[in-house]
Amino acid sequence: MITFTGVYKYYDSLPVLQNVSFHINKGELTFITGPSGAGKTTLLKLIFGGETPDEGEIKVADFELSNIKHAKIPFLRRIVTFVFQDFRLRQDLTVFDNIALPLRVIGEREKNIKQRVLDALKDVGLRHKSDSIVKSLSGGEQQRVAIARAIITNPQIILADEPTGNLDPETSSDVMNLFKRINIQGCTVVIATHNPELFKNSPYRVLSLKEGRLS
Amino acid sequence: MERHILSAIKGLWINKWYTIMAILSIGICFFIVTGVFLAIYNLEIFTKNLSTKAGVVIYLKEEAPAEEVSSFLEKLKNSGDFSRIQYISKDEALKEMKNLIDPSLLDLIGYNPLSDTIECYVKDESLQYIEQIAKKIKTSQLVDDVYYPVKFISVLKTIRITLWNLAISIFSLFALAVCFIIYATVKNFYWKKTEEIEILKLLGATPSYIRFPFIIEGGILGLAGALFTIFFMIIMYFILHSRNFADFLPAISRISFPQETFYALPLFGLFLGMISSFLALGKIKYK
Repeated sequence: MITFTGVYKYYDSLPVLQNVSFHINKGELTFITGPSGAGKTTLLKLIFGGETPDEGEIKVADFELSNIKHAKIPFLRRIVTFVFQDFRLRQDLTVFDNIALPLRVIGEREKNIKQRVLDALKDVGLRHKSDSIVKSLSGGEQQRVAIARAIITNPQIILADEPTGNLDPETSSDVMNLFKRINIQGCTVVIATHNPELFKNSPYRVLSLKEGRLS
Repeated sequence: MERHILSAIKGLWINKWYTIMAILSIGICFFIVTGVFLAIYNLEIFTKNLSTKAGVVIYLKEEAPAEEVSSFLEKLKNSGDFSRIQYISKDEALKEMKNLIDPSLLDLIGYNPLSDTIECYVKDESLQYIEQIAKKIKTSQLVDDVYYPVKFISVLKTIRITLWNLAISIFSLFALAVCFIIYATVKNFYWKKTEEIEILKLLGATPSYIRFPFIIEGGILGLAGALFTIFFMIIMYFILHSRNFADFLPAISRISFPQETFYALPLFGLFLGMISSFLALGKIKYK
């Protein structure tokens, strides 16, 4: 599903990722860990088409990302979705409209959108907040809205960058359980975190990054 | 499409003061452009009307044989330069002259001093070549002399060329100004929505999905500016064609307003708005 082969990435000639190679299978839940500045976010951005590698090859599903054209990136992002630490939600819109946004982007009919959004809200336990304005929600609720938005189009891969970074332990646990449930349904999930508590004693694969190298 | 139109209208409404200012500025530019167009249009009508009066008079030689004159007449008809050709024999001309001056004066001369003539009425499209046409006619062996209103035609030609050049310059300048106003306005709207656009990019929106509402916004601005101009043109039309104005300045009240303007201008505004918006957005980058 995701294959990195000898990937290098530099920012201002400083190496951020060095000779990174790994393969993540379809339906796997993988943690990418490491201290701040280890290259976790860059690695996720490379999978998402937000950056291109300076050297090496990246293959995600059917997309060859080493020299992907701008025009193809939107289509990559329809099968690979991203959950950000800072949520990246439209604060002025309702929960419903935020979750409906990816469906509107792909041209889904309005009559189908309503049911799909309500189903996604039910999955994340926020059905009662459908008409609330996003900025009135707590951090944990906003993160669940972001997850609902990420799963609404039934993507093949979900990437999450420090999804519990701004949440208390209890809410973090809820969010992690949500990712595990999504993974059980067959979706490949890649979570970048510097918090070892999230994967301690878990059966999931952990890729450790240190100074841009996999250890 | 419906989503994009709604999004564009919402975008314009949120920035309503920018929108109003842009529409007013575009309207003023279009008003000037339309004014110049009307001036040119009316000048063309004026020239066309004059061309039916402006003619070439060909004086034939005394000894010109009748058969050759008729074949010469045929040649002139087939040249396509004239809307009407009339042969006037010297006897007919003398008869006409006797109506104008005292016949006893003509009797004093004792002979008919006039020549056989051909009066040619130049077609509008040939008017600018009247000099060459006259020169060509003069080369015929049958022709004694050719008269045409040289000065009048040359002045008219100069006025026409000057006005056309002026019109093209003003049109280009103000069309460019409209483009710039729409470009700057849409670019401003785009920057205000940077965060929203970044989110759309993350969610897999294609460049056309992102561009569409802005292109519609630009189109609406251009269209509204043109409609604003049309509104004032209609008011101007009724003022100029009102009875009071016609009594006061009859020449002004004869100004023609071509109906085509009323649908060509909105279409032009729409097109210009969309093109300017497209240019304002540039390339949508994802990396």
